[in-house]
Amino acid sequence: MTSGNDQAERRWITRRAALLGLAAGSVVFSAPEAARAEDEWGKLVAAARNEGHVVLYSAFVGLAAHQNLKKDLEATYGITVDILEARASEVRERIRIEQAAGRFAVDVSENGRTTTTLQIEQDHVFDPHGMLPSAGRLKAEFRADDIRVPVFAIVYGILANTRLVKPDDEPKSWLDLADPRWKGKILSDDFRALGGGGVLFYVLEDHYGRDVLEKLAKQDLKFSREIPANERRIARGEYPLYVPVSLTSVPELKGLPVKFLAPREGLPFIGYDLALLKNAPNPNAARLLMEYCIGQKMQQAYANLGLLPVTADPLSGVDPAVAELGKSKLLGTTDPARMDQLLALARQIYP
Amino acid sequence: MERSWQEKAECANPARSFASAKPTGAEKFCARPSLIELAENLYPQQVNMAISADERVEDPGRVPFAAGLRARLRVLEGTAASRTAGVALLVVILAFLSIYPLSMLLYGSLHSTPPGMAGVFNLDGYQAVLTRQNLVMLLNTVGISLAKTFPSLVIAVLLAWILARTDTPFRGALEVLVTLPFFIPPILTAMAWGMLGNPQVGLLNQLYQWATGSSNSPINVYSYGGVIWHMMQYSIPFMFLLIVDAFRAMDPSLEEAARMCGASRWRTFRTVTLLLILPALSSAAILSFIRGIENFESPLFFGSPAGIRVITTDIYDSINQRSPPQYQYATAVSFVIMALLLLIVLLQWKLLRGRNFTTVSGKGYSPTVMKLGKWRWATFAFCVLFFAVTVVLPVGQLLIGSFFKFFGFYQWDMLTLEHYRAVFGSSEFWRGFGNTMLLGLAGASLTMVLGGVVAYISVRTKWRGRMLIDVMAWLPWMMPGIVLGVGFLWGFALLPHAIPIYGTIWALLLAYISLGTPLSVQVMSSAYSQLSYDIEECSRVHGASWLQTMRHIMIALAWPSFAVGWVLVFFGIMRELSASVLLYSVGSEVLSVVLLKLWTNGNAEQVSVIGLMMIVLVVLFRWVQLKVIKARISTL
Repeated sequence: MTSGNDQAERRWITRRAALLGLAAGSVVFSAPEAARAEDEWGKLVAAARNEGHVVLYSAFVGLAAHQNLKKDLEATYGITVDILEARASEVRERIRIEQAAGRFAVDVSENGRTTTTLQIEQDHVFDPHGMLPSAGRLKAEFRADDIRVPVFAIVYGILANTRLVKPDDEPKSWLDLADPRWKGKILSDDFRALGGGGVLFYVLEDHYGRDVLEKLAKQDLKFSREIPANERRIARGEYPLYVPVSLTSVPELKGLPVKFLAPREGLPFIGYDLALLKNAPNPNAARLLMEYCIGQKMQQAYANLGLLPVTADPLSGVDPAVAELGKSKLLGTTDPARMDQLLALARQIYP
Repeated sequence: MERSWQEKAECANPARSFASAKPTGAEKFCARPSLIELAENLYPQQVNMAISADERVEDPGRVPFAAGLRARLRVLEGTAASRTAGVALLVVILAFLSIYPLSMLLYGSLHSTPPGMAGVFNLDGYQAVLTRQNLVMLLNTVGISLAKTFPSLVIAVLLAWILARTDTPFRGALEVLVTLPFFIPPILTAMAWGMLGNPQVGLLNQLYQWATGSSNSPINVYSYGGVIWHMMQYSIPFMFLLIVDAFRAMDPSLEEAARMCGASRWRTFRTVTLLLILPALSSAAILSFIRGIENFESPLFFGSPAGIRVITTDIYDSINQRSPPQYQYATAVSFVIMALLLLIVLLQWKLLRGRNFTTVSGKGYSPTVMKLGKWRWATFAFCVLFFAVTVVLPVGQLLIGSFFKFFGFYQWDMLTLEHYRAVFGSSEFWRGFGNTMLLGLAGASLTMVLGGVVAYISVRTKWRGRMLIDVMAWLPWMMPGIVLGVGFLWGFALLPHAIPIYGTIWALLLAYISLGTPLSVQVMSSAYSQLSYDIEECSRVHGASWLQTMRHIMIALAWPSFAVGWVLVFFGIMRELSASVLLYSVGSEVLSVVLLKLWTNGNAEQVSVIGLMMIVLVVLFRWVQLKVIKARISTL
């Protein structure tokens, strides 16, 4: 007869044995799996090298990191990268009409989440990108699906003129913008249009409801679409506050009397996605480019510009001020399905 | 001594009466059954003179002139088929350049989805246009355009008269300088005026407050006034360029005759001078008015913050700021505007039809200038004031700003040449510059040739189909550029793959020709309207071939307008963005796309460096052009 302790010990041994067995088994089975994946990726890289060329259509006009991408891919893999930049709707329409006309000239699309989602649902211009080794390192809020690969995000805060806004008066919350002291003193990107203004409107409505937006309407916001000019207007002292300002402006405005404020609730953001085009002439080079963009080097390049990296990789050498702001909580982004409805609401509240 | 056929043509021709409804020689010419009879009936003296001259020095192997004339005229009579073929060719070219992209857009306006997508035909787009809100917006747009066109026209006429017809000092230099605002990218002048005229910290308001001790800010560019003022800075030099040569090409004997009959200077100016340049004047005003309707930058920059909405910003929003883009609505609105603008153009045609605006006849003339006495310094001061306000103030801001790290922050420690180094060291800039120069030179030349031919047929002949090609050439001007760019994209992309246009530099070239043709046709039409039909007929009667007549008479006399049109089209190409951004491909980037990238990225100072380069180019072009015009006029 065995004692209860013996039985318990045996059960424990049995469980341990089972766990060890499972672990050993998974190692035994996953090792060839990983090796096979590595092997497949190696073949893809070789095929990409053979293609030697890749074309990217980007909706981020003038993104300096595109130059890094061109140089790096050519230096590392001997692949030349052609990048065509235009505004989001222009890139979308070019891709759509090219696909409809059977002109397959582009391999990868880089566009905001809203536009990319509409392209998936309405234009049907993408193919699944397949396995990408770095996809597992994406942050939880930037998960890839079989079509979209998040690549970076633009985060938005408040820009204040440091000569006109004392530190104690700085808005600490998005709700502070409704304070009567700021009436007639806020310059704003247009809430009724896609972009920073649209995403801020969406997120505020999502979190606080319509009331807050109606209070803001009473603040006599001055809408202006010329974002680079708007930032300079704040620096010159035309208005004390500008909403929403992209974190990418911080490095460019260094030396001017302005400050980026991150409200405590967090920052709205617009995610950018990469997607592989149907009938891409260089599909392997396209996938290699997508992988490279979520790799550490390009994520570092994005972070240096004030864009939010989408992977959890540790980054070094980023401007401390930008890095600190980049750690701010994310408040939310738009849902493509509701975006047009919200833009209509914005036109109603801000006629 | 033998007189050349040009000399015969130029000296044998009486000046025509002006502004009369009497049919001209050419009208009679076309109405009669026989060209030979016409030549003999209309120009018996010239024909006789020509015959005698020809008989005196007849080249060996040449047929006698009379026989040659008959043969030539027979050939002309027998070329109806070739004329029809020529017109048909023009119809095909213009159909491809204007009707084809417009038909794509028409499809877009009548279909629930853009070309290449499954959908249904419906009128939803047009139904969406018909709202009270859109009507108010349309009236707002028309009001703004009218409010900027009339004062601009008055100032442009005044400037043109001062600089072409008076002895105002330094008018050669002033003529170049007053046109400069037109060639500066609007976004730059908008930024400069934003710094000068904002109500909070604008330099002009600060100056006023310093001078008066008041705390008021009388200037606010973010208003209707700001939108109109910014537009005027472009429409004044634009209209000036279109009408100044009409003033210059005017035979002063007509004004002298009025003065001798007792008319005052003002009455002469009003009833003779202005009437004679009515084609140029009305064309310039209509072109400018239409451009005002389609203007985008001024309302976006100065209107949006003041809650001012116009039709173009609405179209832009419907394409670029809706999710998904509403192409059906945008194209439908554009066609409604197009129909309204077409009515205005037809009205102009009705106004001008049957009237004679000939000022350049075979009778020799010298464009004399009016002696203003001491008043010439007043006119000089007016031009300098205009130059100071529209050029020195904004361009001065750009020039100073380009040497500092940031616009508007003029501190010693921010002085830098970094922006110049960045621009001149950028391979992308040089590639864009090279492509733009190539496209500008080729595009402007081809556009002016096409416009010249269309205008000639439209104004100088009674050929069947001339109205059609004139309308076809006009159409692209009436379609807002943002939408027309989409029409080119759809049209070129859907061409058969065997036609290698899409994705090449040819797509840009063709789009530029299409966009520039209305302007070139108007410029050349105004110039041709001023030329007496007799000169051309006399040249032909005296033995010159059609090509010789074109080269030595029509082109020689109309070429100053050709040169002005060329410069306008060239710089139009340099600034064009709406079609460029949709049609450029990797390697064929153009300057406007490079500017867009720099601007979007917050490099306003680098954009102004490029803007200043463009101003230098303009000064160079205009200086050469005016030198050549002066040299040519002295030989006329």
